[in-house]
Amino acid sequence: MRRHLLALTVLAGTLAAAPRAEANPLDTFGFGSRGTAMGGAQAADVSDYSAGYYNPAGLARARGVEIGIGYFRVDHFLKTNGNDNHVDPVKGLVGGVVVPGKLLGIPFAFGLALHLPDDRISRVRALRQEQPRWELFDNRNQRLYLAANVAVSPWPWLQLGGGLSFMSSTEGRLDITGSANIFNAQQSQLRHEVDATLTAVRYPQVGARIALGKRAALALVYRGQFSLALDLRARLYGDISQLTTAYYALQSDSVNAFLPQQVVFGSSWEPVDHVRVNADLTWVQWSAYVAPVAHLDVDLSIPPPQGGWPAGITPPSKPTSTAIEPLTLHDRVIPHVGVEWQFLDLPHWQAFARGGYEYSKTPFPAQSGLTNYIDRDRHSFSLGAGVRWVHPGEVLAGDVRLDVHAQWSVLPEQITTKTDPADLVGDYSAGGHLWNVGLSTAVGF
Amino acid sequence: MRARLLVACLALGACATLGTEGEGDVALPTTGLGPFRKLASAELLGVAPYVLDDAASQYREPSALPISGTELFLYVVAARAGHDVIVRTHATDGRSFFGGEGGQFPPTVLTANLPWEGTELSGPSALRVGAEVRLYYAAAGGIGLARSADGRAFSKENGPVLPNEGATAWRAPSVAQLPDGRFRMFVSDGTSIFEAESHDGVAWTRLDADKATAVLDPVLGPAGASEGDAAAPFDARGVTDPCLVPRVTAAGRLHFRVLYTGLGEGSTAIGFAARYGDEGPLVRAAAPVFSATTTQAAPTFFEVNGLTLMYVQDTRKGAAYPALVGALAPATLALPPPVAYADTP
Repeated sequence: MRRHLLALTVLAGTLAAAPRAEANPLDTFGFGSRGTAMGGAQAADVSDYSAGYYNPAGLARARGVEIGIGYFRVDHFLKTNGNDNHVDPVKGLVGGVVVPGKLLGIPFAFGLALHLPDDRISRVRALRQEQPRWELFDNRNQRLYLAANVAVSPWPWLQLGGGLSFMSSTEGRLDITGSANIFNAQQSQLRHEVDATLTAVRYPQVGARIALGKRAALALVYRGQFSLALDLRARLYGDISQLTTAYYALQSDSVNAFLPQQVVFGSSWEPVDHVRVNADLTWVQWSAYVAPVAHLDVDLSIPPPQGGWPAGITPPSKPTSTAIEPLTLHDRVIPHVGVEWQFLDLPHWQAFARGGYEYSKTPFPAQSGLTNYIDRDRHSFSLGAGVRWVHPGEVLAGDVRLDVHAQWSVLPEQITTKTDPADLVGDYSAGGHLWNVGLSTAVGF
Repeated sequence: MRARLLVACLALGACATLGTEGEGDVALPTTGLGPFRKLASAELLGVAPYVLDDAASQYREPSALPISGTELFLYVVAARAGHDVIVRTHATDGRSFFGGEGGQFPPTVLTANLPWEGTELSGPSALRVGAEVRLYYAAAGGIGLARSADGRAFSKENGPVLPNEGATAWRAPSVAQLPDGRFRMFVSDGTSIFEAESHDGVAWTRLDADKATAVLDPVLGPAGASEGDAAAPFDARGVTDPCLVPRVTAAGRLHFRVLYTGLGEGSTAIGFAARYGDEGPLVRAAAPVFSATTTQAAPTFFEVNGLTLMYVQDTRKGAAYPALVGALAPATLALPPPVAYADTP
């Protein structure tokens, strides 16, 4: 009974505290070198700090305190019409901590997972909807990822876990008041006031792992929906050359990054000694995607002065609202497979070779209309290796691990054709590839 | 000691990771024809956005002929001795034209000196065909053709290659050669744009944009009045000054791109219309691609290094004579600083 109560408390606490959930670069590039090398197929076979992303339940399998740190870099070679679009690289530290213990006699673990980008903690951009952009690679992957998870193992064959991840959305306000001289701009006297706020966003993930004997396991992971908002307000109020008083207000609300909820079904099987085969299926509800286009609300009031406007001055009219094109994405199931072969098994040394594959079919419909959310199917092939030094000494009773990975993702070139010949973007080809390399190390105490 | 060293190395690594300005928007796909912005002061040697400006010459109706890289000839209508002639100027950076700094005048390449031409020439359209430069132009009797080996000295055909038809007086021709070698001419009657085809660029046959009707229909006509309370289209009253630029798209489709002058209610703006395939009417973009003032007209353009420079005629600010304005697309990019004015025309 005590075990049931503890497990339910962990899950209920996680869900109640977190109304929304997750968007991060780890969905695209993986977390930690072992996971990436195995194509992201980790849900049923993870027990280190990367469980904080792949499946929080895996934390409960940790055998001791563990600290891990690593680094990865992804370079994009994405092209349209044969020209490199210079999509920013994604690079930064990954790491985490796992602290296992016992709570009320039940195995329990706490974990922290972190991805700290090199260049910027978060990047927001609001683009016109017709502006071409690599929607899933430019901008959205440059995010800080921080997650805290807890896990329990009420029975040896069952692990349950859950946690929170943290992001921030942006609100900003710009006020300009004073007097503007339209005949001599240097004599204008304007006061500016800027107020920007980063507000915290939390989002949950929960997972379960069931061991089917010593050689097989199944897992189920849920990652919630998450959106990053960018809300800006600008207000201009003042006197224009003592002719009249103008008022201009703009409110822009947009979702700058959105990741739909996901469900992962994972499996892991050791058909023979020293060989492990993992396979995950990730269902992603892309149909809930919110178009990253700003909703604009503009108010403009410039009453004419007494006697009308001077010759040559035509006051601007109120801008018309932009009609936002509806965007309907397709839900997708993403397969991940990974293989690990332990080719060295000495008393103190173990070595592993790994390989993986992931296929991510684009959720975007053909961009034949006004919008240009460029994306293509992605095939990711990965290789990796790892070395484990077991019980290196009296001071360190656990192990030291070093893992490396290299992943090549290819996005086959396809042609986008436009229905409207007067479309200012026109037909284009798009495709390319990505290189993802990195290493990670962990110390188990 | 080792722990301190490790912490110091991590701290140094963290300090080295400063943010940079983001990219991801380089060389994005575009038709290259807008929206445009006018050139800024830092992009020109003279008064922005003017690239050719002289009260006496009244430069109008430009036509660009690429030479190499950022170098081009620009054929322009100018006033000389009380008549409109066609002159040629030259820039090595796409902006700093000979004659732009004043005191120098681009030389005349064509004057009205044939019986069918009347007294004024207009609407030059320059085209390179093999080693030859062809210059189509409008005169009193229709559309004429002059040829040159170097783009400087021209020899005219004796008669118009596209004569006027009854009360229809052609003006503002724009000629381009298709990938299969055929020639197409888009030409205006003042309010609509029509199309003609030729296999040699000399003998032309009018084309019908709508074969369902008995008459030869234009490829683009006035947009007409708007419905309801919506503002009138910028080209409600007419379309003229076509600038034809065909291309083959990434999908292998023949794409006719046309910049034109839209005639609105008391104003003009530069519009964009296009079609896929080599026949039929053009489809117009709803909004103008350049409307910095209310008097732009007669666009021509020059593509180089992924940028499009457009030249249009406009009314000189603070004066009442026409001058040539430069504009750029994509509007978010900037040109490098200009070089010196070309020292030869």
